[in-house]
Amino acid sequence: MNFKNINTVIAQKLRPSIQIALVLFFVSGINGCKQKSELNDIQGDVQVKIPVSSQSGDSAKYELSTVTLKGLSNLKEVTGFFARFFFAPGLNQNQLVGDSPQARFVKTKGGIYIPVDSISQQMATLYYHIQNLSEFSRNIGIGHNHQKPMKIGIETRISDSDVLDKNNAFYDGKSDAMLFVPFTSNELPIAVNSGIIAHEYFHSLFYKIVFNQSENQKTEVTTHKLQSLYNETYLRGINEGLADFWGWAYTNDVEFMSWSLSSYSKDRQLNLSAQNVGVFQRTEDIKKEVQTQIAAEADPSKKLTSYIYKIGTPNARFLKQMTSMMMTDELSPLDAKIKMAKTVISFVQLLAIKAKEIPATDFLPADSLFDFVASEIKLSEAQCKFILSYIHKNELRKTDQCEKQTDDSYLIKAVAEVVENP
Amino acid sequence: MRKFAFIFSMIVTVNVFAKYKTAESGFDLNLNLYLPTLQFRFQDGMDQSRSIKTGYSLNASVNIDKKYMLGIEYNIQSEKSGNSSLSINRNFSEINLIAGFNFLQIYISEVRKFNLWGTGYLGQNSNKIKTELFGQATTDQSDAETTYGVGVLAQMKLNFLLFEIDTRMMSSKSYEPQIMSVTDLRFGFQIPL
Repeated sequence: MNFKNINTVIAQKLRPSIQIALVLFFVSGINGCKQKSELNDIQGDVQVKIPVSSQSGDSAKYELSTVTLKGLSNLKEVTGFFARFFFAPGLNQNQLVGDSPQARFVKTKGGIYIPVDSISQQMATLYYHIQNLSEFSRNIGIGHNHQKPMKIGIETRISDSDVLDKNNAFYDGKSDAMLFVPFTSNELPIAVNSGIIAHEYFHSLFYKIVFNQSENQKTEVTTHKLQSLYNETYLRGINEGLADFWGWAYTNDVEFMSWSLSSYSKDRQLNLSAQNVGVFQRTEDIKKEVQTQIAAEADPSKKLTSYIYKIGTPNARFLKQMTSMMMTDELSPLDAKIKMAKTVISFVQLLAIKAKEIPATDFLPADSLFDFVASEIKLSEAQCKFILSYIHKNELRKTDQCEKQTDDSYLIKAVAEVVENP
Repeated sequence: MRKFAFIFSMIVTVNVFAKYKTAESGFDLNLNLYLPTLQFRFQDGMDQSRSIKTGYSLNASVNIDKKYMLGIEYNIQSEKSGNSSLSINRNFSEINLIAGFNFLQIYISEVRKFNLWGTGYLGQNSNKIKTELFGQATTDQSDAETTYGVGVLAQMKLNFLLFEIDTRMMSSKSYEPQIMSVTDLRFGFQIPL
């Protein structure tokens, strides 16, 4: 090998211009490690293209639409006024901890940002729906509950649960965060399912109104196990039912669950068939189920997890049917939904007071939603009869009737005193 | 297809130019042609990590008087995320012009030579995003963005065969991150013109 005068050759050849080029090369390399994305500087209102559900006749469908994300402070992290994301987060002293996921978008000539991977698409879609749901909350007068951005965990790892470790989403009240676990099925990812996002969003409202106010109730668990577990089960059940109603109210899709979790869809779809009118889990039914689980299981609360939907779904169907009847009679679809959503929030606020003040030996009445709706809404005859079909399931109120008022609305007239607790 | 036609026409043009210049002024010109090669980019990916992602590159260049180089490259990269209900397919493509200068040449033997080149890149890139939702596909084309780059190319020449490691820092607004390291491992051959 002829390496003669290599050093000299290098010295001669490395002219100043080349040296500058090499210095630039290495400096840019070092900068490359720190270099941010252009998306870090994208703020304010940003147009993105994401999959959203839309109504097509009587059925819903998903299609790609261009929507505006409002109040963004950083498109790279899709952070802003309405949401803040965590990737595969953990919990530390009830605080969500984890890095912000880094979204990737490309910009079209029309100025629309297109997500280039699933996580980026999920972040944009979640932000958009939380933004809409926050605005809906503000429309019904509960905007004060969501002044902070919603914390959202995506690809959350849950190691100690068979139910929650994949293909699921839940609201964690302690960290005040909406958590999405890895989605491994071939259906529509839960994080882009607008109905399920609305469902989880409602849980955050319910938790803040009810559970934040009734913490001291849990001290009574050991002394009054049946009552305590009954009340817990009823609250969990009604929470699920009202959340399903919220999912329908947001999407207008009675089977919003079916896009992502088709196996649950049949039991939880919100169309009310004629044979199911007036059918719900009464106080006695819930007591019986709770007693059975207390007798049979070491952890009855966990065992009752699937049962709570039997409590919730009939309530959700009732609310959906009532809202549909209101649309037919007097109100626009949006006005009817807003009116019913306000009624639901008022009911939850009353439930919070009841749950806080109820003696440890008492049971929350399982038919209280029907009475509450009847008292809050000016009823037509059809609506009154519809509610009556639920109220008549109470042995003590079988003789209650609809009575016409001077303004042509109807009231349910109680002809027997309600005694819910034995 | 249009891009391949462009590359082909560039090669033909350089060839014609080379023959003309050789006849006129006696330049020593060589055409370097390479096999399609792997390209490694240190960039953000759909897995939320900044790591080496693989793409492909097609290159051709001309050496002038063994001191200067003019070339062209076409880079592609694709990735797919999602499931059968909702998927996103990103197809990145980039075309760059390359200018290089030789700043080190080592004669190992008559037929074996080692060269170091300083290189500069200028080109354009774009992304095509195909989103498929329940079987219905929508394709969006990103705005084209300019690419810049500066790097070093190490070239081993054995007779007419070339083995090259080309590493550079490339920059574009559409990159994630905006400046990234790109490395090609190339195998090709040199044709005297």
